[in-house]
Amino acid sequence: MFHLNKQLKKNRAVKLSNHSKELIRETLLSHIQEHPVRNIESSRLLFQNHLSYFAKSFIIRPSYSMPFIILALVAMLGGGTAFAAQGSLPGDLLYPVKVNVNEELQSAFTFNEEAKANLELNHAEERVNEAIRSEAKGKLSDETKLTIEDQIARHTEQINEIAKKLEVRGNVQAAEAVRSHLDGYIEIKSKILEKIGMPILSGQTTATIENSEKIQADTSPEKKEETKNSLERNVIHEAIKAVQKENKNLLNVLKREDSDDNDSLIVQPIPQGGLQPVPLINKPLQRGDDDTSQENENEQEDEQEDEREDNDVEVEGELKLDSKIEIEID
Amino acid sequence: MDAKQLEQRFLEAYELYSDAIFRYCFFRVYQKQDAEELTQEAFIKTWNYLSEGKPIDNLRAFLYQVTRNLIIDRKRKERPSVSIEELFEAGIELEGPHQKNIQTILEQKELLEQLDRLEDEQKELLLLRFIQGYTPKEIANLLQETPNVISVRITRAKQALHQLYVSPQQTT
Repeated sequence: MFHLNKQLKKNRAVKLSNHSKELIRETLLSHIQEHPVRNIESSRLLFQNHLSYFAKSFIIRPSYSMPFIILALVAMLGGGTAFAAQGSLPGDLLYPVKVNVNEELQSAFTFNEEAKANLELNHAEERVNEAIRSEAKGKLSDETKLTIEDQIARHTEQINEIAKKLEVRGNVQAAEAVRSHLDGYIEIKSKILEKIGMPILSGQTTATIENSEKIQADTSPEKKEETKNSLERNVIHEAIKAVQKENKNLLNVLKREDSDDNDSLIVQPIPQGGLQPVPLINKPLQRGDDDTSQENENEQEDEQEDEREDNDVEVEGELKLDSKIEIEID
Repeated sequence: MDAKQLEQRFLEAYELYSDAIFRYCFFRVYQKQDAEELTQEAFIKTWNYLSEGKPIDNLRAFLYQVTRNLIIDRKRKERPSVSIEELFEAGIELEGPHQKNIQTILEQKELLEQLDRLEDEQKELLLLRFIQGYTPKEIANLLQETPNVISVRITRAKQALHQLYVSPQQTT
């Protein structure tokens, strides 16, 4: 039998001749010309295997740290969790998901520097909103203040970093725009924050943020690392707990949200509200007669969905998320 | 993603998968030219699907499925099957680094003949596992089955092939 294996393997060398390959490529190219993309709105190409190929070239991938694993968990157990997290406040169960998962994800998939700065600014604004809402609910404790201030500091630092980056690259205009937006933010929000006892932004400008490294309460890098780690650890625990609670119900709700456009767990383009809930349903390929249409009966769908959930989620070094969980943000 | 990016990704997929698809076709139809046509057809169909805005989440699986359907359609049209014997007489070219000595060619011929005697399903599994080199898990992914089922079937296919080697030759 071993001899059979070897024999079979010898045939692996079979492949297209360079000539034929070229010919076919040419044909494909002209075919593409004649049949251009018609319906780009819902066109989503989700290449799982592709990502390992791309790794050899240039694509920026999010780092495979804890937040990403948590996302995989969250995605597996209930996409509604991410959505529910958006409204949470510091001290809430799902707040870590909002900050460390949702927002992290958003930044991870924003590649344009200016857009990144914008995003950070949005997040920073959100922090102020959280502060205000906490205050209104009487939940603005010292600890909460600290959390929020900490985060705001991080956001503003990030924005400055980006401005510097842009400048270094020669894009002075963009750098200026970024900085002026930040200034605007500081000017407006510092007053609000002062009123509720968080004078962190008072008297700051982009210049002072740059020069003084920290405007946050606790300054040492070790403390930063520590808070980050414990925060991450908490995120995992909290996320799992929260998600398990909602699990069964959400899954049933999502299953019924059958939709033509959404074939897998796709994170839609993010408006102000954050991540949207999307059905977890995946329509497997079926053997059609001529067309490989992706139509499906519901029973088979449900069955296979359960199966797939058990088997397939892995997060390995190469992003071989073997299930059909793919994340694409346009 | 815009149209340009879609096109780019598609072409990259062509680079990635064209050889594999071709090899698969070849070991199903045993004709180089047919295999090339089938490969082209598979990619064209895939593009058509994409250009209509329909989402694909696993491109490799999709390509294989399209290809398999094309092959089934073709076989249904009842072309007289070419025997391996004729193929080798015509001087089949298997590009590869291995020695093209008589023994190798003969061994290969015999292998293909026996392989051909298997049921389509088993033939395909051995093709995917040993010639394409996919793991049972990957195959499961392609064929929408569980890895266990695939492993079991592969073992049985191997046994069946072994049996064929042992039993007397069928005259073609």
